[in-house]
Amino acid sequence: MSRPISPHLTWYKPQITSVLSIMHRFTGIALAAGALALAWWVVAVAIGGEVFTGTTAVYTSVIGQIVLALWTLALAFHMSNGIRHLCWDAGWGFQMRQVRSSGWLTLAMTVILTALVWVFVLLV
Amino acid sequence: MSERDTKDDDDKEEGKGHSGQESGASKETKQQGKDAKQSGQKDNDASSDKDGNQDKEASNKDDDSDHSSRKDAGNKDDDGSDGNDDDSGGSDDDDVIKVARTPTDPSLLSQLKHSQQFRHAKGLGSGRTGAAIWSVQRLTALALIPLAIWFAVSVVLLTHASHTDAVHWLASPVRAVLLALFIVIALRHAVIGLTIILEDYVRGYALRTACVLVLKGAALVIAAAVIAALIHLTFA
Ligand code: HEM
Repeated sequence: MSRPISPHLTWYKPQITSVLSIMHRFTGIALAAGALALAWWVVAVAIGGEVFTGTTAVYTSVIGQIVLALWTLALAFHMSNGIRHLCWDAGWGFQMRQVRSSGWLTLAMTVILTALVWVFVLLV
Repeated sequence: MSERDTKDDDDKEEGKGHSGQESGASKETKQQGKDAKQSGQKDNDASSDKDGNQDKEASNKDDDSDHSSRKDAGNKDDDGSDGNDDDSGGSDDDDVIKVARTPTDPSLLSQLKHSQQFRHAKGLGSGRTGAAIWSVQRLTALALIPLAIWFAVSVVLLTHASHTDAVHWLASPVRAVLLALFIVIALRHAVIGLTIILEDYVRGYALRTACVLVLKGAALVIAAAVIAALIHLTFA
């Protein structure tokens, strides 16, 4: 049987609801990759020596910093939207109006949290 | 959530019965799954005039055919479709998925959950464990909120850390425990999430099961490596 098994990306008109929903999935995958990077960092600290220096070099390179910035963005979004999900699971915020406004709130939180982290990283 | 339902449909359509996340369903089971699907459909058609709740229940729960509550539910139906209930009682058809009427009465449902057949079927993975996994996904999400905030703040403070700083930071037992919790809980959360994604997009029972196993294996290795590293750093 070759029926479609999931809606995949065949969207109707992009809407705040559908866009945030697929972004939750993308950021979840990105965070899983980020967890790998974090785990490696801990192991690299334990090994020390060249392994640690090499890891630091990669993580502080321009590309490394861009990836880390995107990872912060992903974490901020996934956490904010995850809290939105948990509210839904508790039965709160199901009205269409609320779903949309909590969606915009999620985006605002994402920007604020990411900015907060990076302002400190660049200033401290 | 809807993704999971779609997946279940897919499995039934392919006649594969249980799409176990971890254990392989035997050929026998698959064949029986196909039969079950056919009789299940019949049942659904016959009783489709019942209330809407049923669809949800029916797709998640076992048809526990020799359980007394099943028969009760069948009789309420008064449409003569409970012929299916009688063919399998006690035989090794027990752990077959049958999509059929499930009592919607909560007390009957909890009886069903404690039945032998249900626990048997549970070992077969997805389709039986969905509700529990769903809760674990929410609980890990909840735990990750404070842990992620703590972690983000820590990373900010460690931005320009030398190796000595990093070792010193990780060598504190409290931080080591928090970091281990963060990584282990995040991995658990991610394995559930990624499994759902794999189940949505990977076609074919064998390939899907292989992907999930690789995912779980990888998560286990990562968790073990991090914990080993933290123990090394804390006691060094
Ligand atoms: C920081 C706090 C976090 C919260 C509050 C949170 C919340 C959630 C929730 C509620 C879901 C279920 C969404 C649904 O039902 O569709 C989910 C899915 C997921 N999460 Fe998280 N999460 C967090 C952190 C993480 C982290 C650190 C990772 C990766 C290591 C991660 C990876 C995933 C993945 C892969 C999914 C599956 C996405 C999907 O099914 O489309 N999450 N998260």
